[in-house]
Parts: sequence; structure tokens; C-alpha cells
Amino acid sequence: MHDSGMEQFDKIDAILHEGGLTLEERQSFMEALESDPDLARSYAGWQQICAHLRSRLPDTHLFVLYSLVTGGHAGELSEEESDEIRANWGVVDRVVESHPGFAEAAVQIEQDRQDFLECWDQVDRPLRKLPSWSYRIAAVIAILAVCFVAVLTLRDSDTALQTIAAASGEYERVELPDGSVAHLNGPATIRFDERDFVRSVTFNGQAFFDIIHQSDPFTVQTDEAFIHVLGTRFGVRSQQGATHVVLESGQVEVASNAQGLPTVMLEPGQMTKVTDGAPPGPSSQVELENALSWTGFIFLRQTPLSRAATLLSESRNVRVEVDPSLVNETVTGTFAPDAEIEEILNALALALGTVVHTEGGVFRIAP
Amino acid sequence: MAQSKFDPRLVRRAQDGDGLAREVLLRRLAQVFKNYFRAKVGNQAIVDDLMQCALIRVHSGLSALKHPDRFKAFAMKAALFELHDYYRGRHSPKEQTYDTQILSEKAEAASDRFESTLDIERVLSVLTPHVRRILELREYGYKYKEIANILGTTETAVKMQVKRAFEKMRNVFAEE
Repeated sequence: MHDSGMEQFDKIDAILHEGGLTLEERQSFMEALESDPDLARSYAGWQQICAHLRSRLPDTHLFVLYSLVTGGHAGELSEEESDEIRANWGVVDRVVESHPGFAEAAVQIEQDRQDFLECWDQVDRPLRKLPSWSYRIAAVIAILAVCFVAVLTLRDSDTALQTIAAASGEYERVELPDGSVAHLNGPATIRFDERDFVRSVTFNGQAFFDIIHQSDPFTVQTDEAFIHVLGTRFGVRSQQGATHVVLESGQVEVASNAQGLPTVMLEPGQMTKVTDGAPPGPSSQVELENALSWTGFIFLRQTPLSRAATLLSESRNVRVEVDPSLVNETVTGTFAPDAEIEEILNALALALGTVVHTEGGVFRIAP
Repeated sequence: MAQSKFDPRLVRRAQDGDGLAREVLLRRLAQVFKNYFRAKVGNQAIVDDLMQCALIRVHSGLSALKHPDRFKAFAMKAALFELHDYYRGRHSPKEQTYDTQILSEKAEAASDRFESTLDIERVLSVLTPHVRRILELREYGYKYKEIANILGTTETAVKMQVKRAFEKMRNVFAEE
């Protein structure tokens, strides 16, 4: 074979299979086809041969199933797949028998299968056995359940999925793996992947979320909505077919569980409501103290001290009094349900430059 | 007792509509697919495409999986289907360029009479089984380097065989 023949083959082969010809080379080859009938004939013939072989190829799906069966793995086929390959066995088998290259490809699928299983084993290193403290927690939970103290912490040993539930009237502070905190105000249930946490939780019930800022967004998924945030504080109430989202600070995007619907961006002090399959309602301005009362938090925003005292008295079941000279003072602050009354009052006193007296179980804020 | 990351209970939850379970399951599987396609194909863009397609295949077929304990085989088949669809697609008509169509038209115009009379089986009969094996593997979608690996030889040797086959066929074309 002389050089020109080899060069011609390289061009034909490159065009049909391997690529890599420059625009100029293609142009040159087109001109050669027009001026050289022998080359055109070779190209057309080679093209037909290739097309003929491709036309003999069995369907990919059937061919893979066939190869698994011939490799001794018929048990890895579903019932439907078994029926499918049984019905088409003769067709595929005849093609493979008469085409040694396709038979080789079938053998290669067996190798591909083994390679996949190796990759699987590399990833599927079993989850570690739970440490003993987890079982102790489980035991404590059982006791608490019997005593009608309904804060439950259950761990999914099979998946590293963490499920934490707070029963009605109970508060549970949940620290998430990224440092964010979910304050559950029961009834509420939160679930997340403890081991491979990707800043995503599923949630139902009532909670206030305090999300630390990271470049990756954080997502709270309820039955009705997706709430996407970067770093912010907001309340979520997902009950009876509706999700309410109230934003205290930062910014959140609220989306429906149905795809393709418009989303709503909330600014601090705004809320929206999402029902199943519907777009989020328009944002509306709210008073945080009332709109987030179900979180169990106390939100004070330029709140008169007398009102703050009333709220604290009711929420902590204590008596808080305010000196008459201070009743018109206003205070601002956010206090979690687990904040102690002394801690809250001292914070307020510090901000006002006042003092707190305690006498006979009564707290009194005085100048 | 140690548990698999693809525990059937996790699969069942994902099937039953537990969004988080499905997310965890698919994320873990994505790592398997990524490692697998990277080993098989190498090119990152193609790896990403194959991984996405395989995940979609699993996602859409998961609810029909009758036995959650067979998830491994289910995922393995999804990967094989995607990988071999990809091999086949390398030389499929959709991959052909516009230039190739023009070239075909020019070749047809230059060899119209010949094309209608070419006896393909007679042309193929001049090839050795070894060369036919190579050509069939190539038309299956494998590249010369991959064929060389499959057959335990070098890429240069494979290409030389194909070139010789082309020369043999060319002589037959001339006789047609």
C-alpha cells in the first residue's frame, strides 16, 4: 500500500470515527472526492460497510441483559427484564453468534459489571455501629415516653438519618451539623442526614431556625414548601396542609412543592403562606411578636417594658414587675424558649441601665 | 451490626416518598456513578453527563423496583445501560457532522452505480475473523485504544489491522 492510500484511509477513518480533521482538511477531502472517483468509491464503500455492521447491533438494553445472563447473573434481572430477554433471546443470540466483535463486547459488559461492583464497594463502606451512648439515650427516651414527657430523640441506625421530634407543648433545641440551630416547639419533627449533612432538612410542625451563613444555601423542606436561605433567622409552621414562613432577619426564598411556580422572597418582618401544590402567597408585613408567637420565642421590638414584663410572666410562669418610672421604656431582643428568666431580665436590665430585684419569687425591674 | 449505606429500609423510604431518604440515597449513589464513569470514560464533562443520566434513570425507575434489597443490581444496570448507550452514540448518525453528510452526498454522486450493486457480505468475507472482530468492536462504539485493551494488543497494531482491511476491501470495491 502506498502512502497516498494510507493518507486517504486516515481521512476517511477520521471522518467516520475518530474525528480530528481540521476545517481545511475536510475541505481538501471534499475536493478530492469530487476529483477522484476511486476515492469516492472507497469512501462510499467503507461507509456502507460500517453502516451495515452498525445495523446488525442488537438493542443496547437487550444486549446488556443478554450479557448479564450469559455472564451467569440472570438473578440480577427483574421479572420484567427476564421476560423481555426471554422473548428476544433468539434474535440477540443469533447476532452475537455471527459477530465475534459483538460477542467480545458482551464479555466486556461482564467486566464493566465487575468494575461497577468494585466502585460500589468503595463507596458502600458500612456505617459504623452506633456508640453505646446512643442506646443509653434510647433507653432514656423510653422512660421519658412512659412518663409522658414527650420529647423524643430517635436515631435511624440504618441510614444515619437523624429524626428528632418534640411533642405538643415541648421545646427541643436541635444543633445541626453545620452549626445552625432549629428550635422545635412541638408538635414538630425534623429530619436530616447527620453524617453527610448537605444543609438540607425536612420538617413538619413549628420551629424557629437560626441558620449560620455559608456559601451553600440551606433548605428547609416541608410537605408544601421549600425554603432556601443562606444565613438567617426565621420561623416555619407546617401544619394542616399549609406552611407559614415568617422572617426575622436576613432573606429567604420560599418555593412551592410543585415545580415551575413562582417563588416569593421575604424581607425581615414579612411572612408568606404556602398550601399544597399552590404558589406561595404574596409577602405581607407582620408584627413578629404575634406572627412568631407559636415558635415559643419572645420577640421584643421596641416593645414597652410593661408589655415585655407581661410576656415574660406568661411564658415563664413567674411574676415580673416594672417600676412605674420605667413603664414607658422600650426594649428589643429575641429570646429562645430555653433562655432562663434571670438571663433575660439581666440582659434587659443591662440594656436599660437598671437593676433586677428578686423577692419572694417576684422579679422587679427598677432604676 | 454494620449497615449498608444502601440499606433496603432506606430504599423503601425513598420509594415511599420520603424526600430526604431519596436525596441521601441518590447522593450516595452519585458517588458510585462518578467513580465508575470516571474509571470508564475519563472525560469529566462526559462523566458528569453519564452520572446525571444514570441518576435520572434510577430516580424515575425507583418506584417500580419491587425488591429494595436488589437496589445494587438495579443501579448497576442503570450504569451499564448508560455506559453502553454512550458507546453506541459515539458513531451514531446524530454524532455525524454536517460535513459528513455533504461528504456522503459527494461520494454518492461520484459512485452512484457502484453503491447500488455493492455486495457487502462478499466484501466482508475477505476479512479474517480477527479483523472482523476489530471492525465490529469499533462499530459498537469502542475507540482503537479501548479495542486494544480489550484484545490485549496495542492501539497501533489495531489501527494497522484496520488500514490493511480497508486496502483489501478497496480492491473488492474496485471489482464491483
